[in-house]
Amino acid sequence: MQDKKTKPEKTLVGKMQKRREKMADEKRYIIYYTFEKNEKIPVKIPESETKKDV
Amino acid sequence: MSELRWNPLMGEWLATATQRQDRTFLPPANFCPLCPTAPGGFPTEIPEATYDIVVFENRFPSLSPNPPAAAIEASELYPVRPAQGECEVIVYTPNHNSTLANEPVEQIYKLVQVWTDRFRELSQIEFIKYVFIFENKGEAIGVTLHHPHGQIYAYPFVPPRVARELQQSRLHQEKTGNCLLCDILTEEKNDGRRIVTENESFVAYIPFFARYPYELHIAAKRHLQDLTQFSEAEQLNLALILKQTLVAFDKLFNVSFPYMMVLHQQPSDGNNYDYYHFHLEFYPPMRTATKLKYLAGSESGAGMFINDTLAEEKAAELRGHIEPIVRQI
Repeated sequence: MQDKKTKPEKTLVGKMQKRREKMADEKRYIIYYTFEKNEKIPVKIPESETKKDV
Repeated sequence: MSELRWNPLMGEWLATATQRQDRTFLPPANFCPLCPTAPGGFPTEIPEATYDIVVFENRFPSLSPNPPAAAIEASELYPVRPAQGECEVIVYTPNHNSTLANEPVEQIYKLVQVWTDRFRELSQIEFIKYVFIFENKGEAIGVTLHHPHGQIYAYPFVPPRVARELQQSRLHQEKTGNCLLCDILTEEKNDGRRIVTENESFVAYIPFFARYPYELHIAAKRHLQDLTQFSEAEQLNLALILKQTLVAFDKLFNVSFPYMMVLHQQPSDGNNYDYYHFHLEFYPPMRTATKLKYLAGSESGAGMFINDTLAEEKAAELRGHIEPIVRQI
């Protein structure tokens, strides 16, 4: 399971890749997901401006 | 100590997880375990900084793939079983101060893809019968870490609330030949008063039977059972309607709106659930800018919710904060 890379899948944000490793405790796994593209999807969207947490 | 104990009164399992009493509780931002480890900084759960989204096994799980044997003896009345399953944490972004509402739609779209991948992978594990994706957001809900993240519990059984929805859906189909949620969507759209927003693939609405003032459901227009059946356009449209509704939530009281967000999908136990219909549900605890909805005697002891508001009025209020999404293609 360690350092396993999967075949990328093509999507609108580029190909999704995942890399699976063991965590520092050598027991649990962690999976890093990365995508090829960081381009903006061509839509104009509203923004949240609030900061105060509840 | 972690085990599953059977509740014969309710006919359902509950998990004991005593190790969770010691889990990290609202640490200061510079000691957040979900931030990437800074050079020379204290070691967090995430040693690397170059990622879009990270998933890892929860350090304080309620369910684990290789659980210890149950610590207490079972009886005929009180069955006990090991707490087998998976508990994962999904970190939405390296940015500690963000929220899902603040993330660009590209990032939410990536999250939908990661949800899909996790559902697909965990569903293939033999002992997993239900993959439950959710987010608890805000101290009002009881979050212990502020860094934007969600969770996945992969259960060794179909949990009771979903089991009840499945049963109601099956009975409705047997009676009418129709999908229950498709009929709910038709009813909501015909009425219109509780619709908050919609796009080509999804409808967001406060249902007729909302238990919380701002309980919002987002349902797929196409009759789909889980994320793996979505087209690319549907994945993007889910991200868009999530962005739109999360921003509207934040604008309601000009606060980062607390909520529970849950995804209801078909079980992963190999049975046929063609009659079931994918949807998300939000349970926000706020009923006004300064008051919370509590689960008190009737809700907790009798199971009957009392909603102090009307879904029609709350939907109109939320609809007033929806800003249109303009496609630039």
